[in-house]
Amino acid sequence: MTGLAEDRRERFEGLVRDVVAPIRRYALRRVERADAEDVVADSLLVLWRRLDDVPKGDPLPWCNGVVRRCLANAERSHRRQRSLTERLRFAPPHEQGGGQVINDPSLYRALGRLRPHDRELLRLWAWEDLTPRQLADVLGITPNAAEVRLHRARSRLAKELVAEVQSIKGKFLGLPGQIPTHDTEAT
Amino acid sequence: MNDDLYDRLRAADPLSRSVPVEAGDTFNTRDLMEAAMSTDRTSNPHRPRWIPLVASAGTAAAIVGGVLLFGSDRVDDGAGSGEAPLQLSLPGEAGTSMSSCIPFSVDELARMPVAFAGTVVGVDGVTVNLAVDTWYSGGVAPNVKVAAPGGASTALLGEIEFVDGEQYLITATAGNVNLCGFSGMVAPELRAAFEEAF
Repeated sequence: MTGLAEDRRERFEGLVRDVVAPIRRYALRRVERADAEDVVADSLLVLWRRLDDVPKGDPLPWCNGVVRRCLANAERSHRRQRSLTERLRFAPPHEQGGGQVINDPSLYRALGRLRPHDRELLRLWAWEDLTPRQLADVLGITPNAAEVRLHRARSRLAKELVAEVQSIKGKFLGLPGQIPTHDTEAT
Repeated sequence: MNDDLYDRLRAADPLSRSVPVEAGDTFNTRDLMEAAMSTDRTSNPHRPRWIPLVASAGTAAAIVGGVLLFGSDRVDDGAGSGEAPLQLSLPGEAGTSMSSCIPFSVDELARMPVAFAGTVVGVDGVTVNLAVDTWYSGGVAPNVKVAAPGGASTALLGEIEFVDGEQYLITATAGNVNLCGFSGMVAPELRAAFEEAF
């Protein structure tokens, strides 16, 4: 093996050591485990082929961009097999990381009502811990634009959460609420 | 308010932070790394090799109206072969309506007269230039150029976003790239279907 090839392998291995866990977490948060492994495998292949394009300073946002595209491709190839209802519904993958139960269904309902772009932005911010600068890198926009979009997405989520609370209150008091119910719960 | 929102979102992370996700030096990640590194990159970053997992150099597939040729992984950058690039176009809006899609199946895929694996080496306005890594059927040219209908200014054509350096599996009939799942960026399901078909 030539020195150049050896050097490449070392660089790749170093990169993978740094980014494979965040990449894996990103995938596991969005698709089922088996698909997540495929997405990780595809992503590593792209990283190997495009090793020379990886930014030196902070490779993670760039790598996040790669995972997102690989994940989008995996989703596209599955799309045909899912019913329209399933495609429109937003739900987190189940049984991630040892059977974690989702303990905030209200939040997930609110997230589900957001546009996919807003939802993804909020996930990248809160789950992937990306700063606005890193968000900008992932999304290919300026840091200012990222700040503005994040601010808007947060406001929209906050509004949806208020709507959630109001509909629960309405249900409790027997008032006509935003979410129609057939039960009349006694107070 | 924003901090509360942030905390609430983090608390709802479907991935428990205390559960370890495999780090870079565990067995499974090493497998994935070795698999990636074994795809035999050349020194030219835009021409990764496609190594078919099934070596089927003698198999005659039922290709209607096409010539079946398997590109070896020694297909060079085109400097030596002198073949003119194959020109393809993407169907216009009318051609991409869902009602005109035939259901995807490996049998249909195997009948495609033109099929190849290629990597995008350039996107120039309305044309995407792909370097062919493997011909599955219907050609010998080292390059394929795909033109967008109506002079679309981005590389997002139909369902497929063509990105420089990414690899795609493409089929075409009568000079038009087939969408509806018969072409796309390389992904496990599509790759498996191509391997089964050809």
